[in-house]
Amino acid sequence: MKSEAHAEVLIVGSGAGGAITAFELASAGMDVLVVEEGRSHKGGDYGQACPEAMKKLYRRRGMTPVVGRVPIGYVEGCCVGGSTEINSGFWRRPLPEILRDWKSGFDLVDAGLESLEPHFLFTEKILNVGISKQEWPASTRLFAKGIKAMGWSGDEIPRAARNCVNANACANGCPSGAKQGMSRTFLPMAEAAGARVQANCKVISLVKNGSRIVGAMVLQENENGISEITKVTADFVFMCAGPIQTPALLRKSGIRRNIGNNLCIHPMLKVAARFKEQINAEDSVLPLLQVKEFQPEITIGGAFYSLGHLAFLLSENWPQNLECMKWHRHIAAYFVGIKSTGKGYVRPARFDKESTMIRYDLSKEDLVNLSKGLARIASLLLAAGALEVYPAIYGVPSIKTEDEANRWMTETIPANSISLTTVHAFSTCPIGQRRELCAADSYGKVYDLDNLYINDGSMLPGSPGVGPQGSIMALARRNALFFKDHHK
Amino acid sequence: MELTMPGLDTHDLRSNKGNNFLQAVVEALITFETVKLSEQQKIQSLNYAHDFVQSEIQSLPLMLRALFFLGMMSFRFLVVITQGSGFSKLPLEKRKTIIQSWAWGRVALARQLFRVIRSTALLAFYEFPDVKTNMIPPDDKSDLQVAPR
Repeated sequence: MKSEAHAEVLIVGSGAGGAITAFELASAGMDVLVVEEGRSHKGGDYGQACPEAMKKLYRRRGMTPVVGRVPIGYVEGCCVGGSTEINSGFWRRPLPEILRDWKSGFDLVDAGLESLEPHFLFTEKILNVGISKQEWPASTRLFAKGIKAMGWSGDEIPRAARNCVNANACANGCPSGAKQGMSRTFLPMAEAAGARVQANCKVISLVKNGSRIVGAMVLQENENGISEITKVTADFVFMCAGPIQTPALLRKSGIRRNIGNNLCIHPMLKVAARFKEQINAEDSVLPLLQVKEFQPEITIGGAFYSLGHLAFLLSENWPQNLECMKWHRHIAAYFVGIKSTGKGYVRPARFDKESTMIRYDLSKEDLVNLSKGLARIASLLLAAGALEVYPAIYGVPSIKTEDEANRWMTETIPANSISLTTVHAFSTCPIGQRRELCAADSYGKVYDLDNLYINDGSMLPGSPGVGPQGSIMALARRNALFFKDHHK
Repeated sequence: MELTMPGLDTHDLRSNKGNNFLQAVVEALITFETVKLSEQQKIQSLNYAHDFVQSEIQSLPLMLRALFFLGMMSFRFLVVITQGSGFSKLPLEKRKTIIQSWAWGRVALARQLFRVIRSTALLAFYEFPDVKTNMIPPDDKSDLQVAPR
């Protein structure tokens, strides 16, 4: 980029929301510039060991903690393609009751299942969303056995991972190209339609003039590693930097109304299950099923597994669990996720321009749901034949019997002992017609500003109850097409 | 909860590079009981874990990094008071005992302080290629009993 550049549409961020917005607007003949803070990585950078992947593909090398009564480890992608490059490719449409809640709570118009259907169909076709055509790996088969034994409903989750070759590298960037991240799908399509995608470009602030955003100040690293500031002017700006960076940047730019206040997450408690037989979870894709029985409050499913991740999971009780590492070929990892009811917010850090303050406080109900989820996942895995289930909770020994599992139906996990992570955050800039609650209208146009739009995970009015990528992409496409129809 | 760490190593495998205190902590956190490595591989794996932990700490947001360093200064001060020597100069066995009492002890704040180091050190150690390929298999092949505790 030159020291001053112009685009008709400036899109900040190249993840699920930004990529599909870029494609739709470029396809409509608009001059689109996508700026992405992270780097562009080619195939050789993908599929490396976790430490290298965290360095290259993750924001702050994976160190983006959520502070609160229970600290929660949050990770998101920071590379071309955003978090779609490091997720598992699971694809879910939002639950109908969630969409009804969004309508009633935020007056989000034109966002029922029927309205979103064409957008789901379109994105699912491009991303080749479908269920696995291969034989299930052992970690999935055992999970299915457990679901059946418990008599619960559950099914295989469709993935955007055509011809997955079980590289077990979803979290490290898919080396085979099977996973349909944005860097392999909508971004090349957008470029083919004329969009420009600039990596290594971090937007420092938006430039506001009255009720218009006239551009953005962008810190760009050149080929020699030297950073320089560029002013990019634009007729329209779409914020697609994700649920944390979008509100942080808006607030830094003086745009604060209903921005960053309504953080929702899906906290996850991981467990490791040791089986009698070797299941070699390191050599296969993560378990592909999820239990639907307790959704949306509680989701039970499979987690990414590697030797390092196993050690991480077992580290809460490492002196007791150390020997368990020898059984790594008999172990797989699973999770309990909840639709949390706590409260959180996102703010730019006060004394550190590079950081964002993320706070989230779990509610008592959240801890109860996590406890019940632990009881259920342990029961399921024991029914599937697990000899022991190791929860990532300090002071809680491995669970070996149904009684030990059921203990957690009535007891609550101590807040200061539990180790939680999350990869799902949203709702920091909710959209809808209720101005007193929402940052932007139902189509993402920020209230009181003429040309600023929000089109990423931050726009979801609440938790979708399932993985958010499907909801984000369908709503983002709907918004992009609405914008196109009203500005061309 | 019993907090004995089996397999205490007595060799000091620290290299001369990097943060000596952090290396001493990482060395005290990691045991080689589950993996068969040469001395050279042990040094390399520890350095790999140390480098990763160091970069992860540097990646923490400023406020949390400041709190972390404050906590570590308190830890080092208390070690000097109680042991009469800096942590890095203590024998490995002693360091392991101290780390256990902090990283897996009853004080939640101490556990929180060491959570970043212990989890990232173990993650990196077990992702080190030589460690991955030299894991010791379990003794009981029939696997009719639960893992030894």
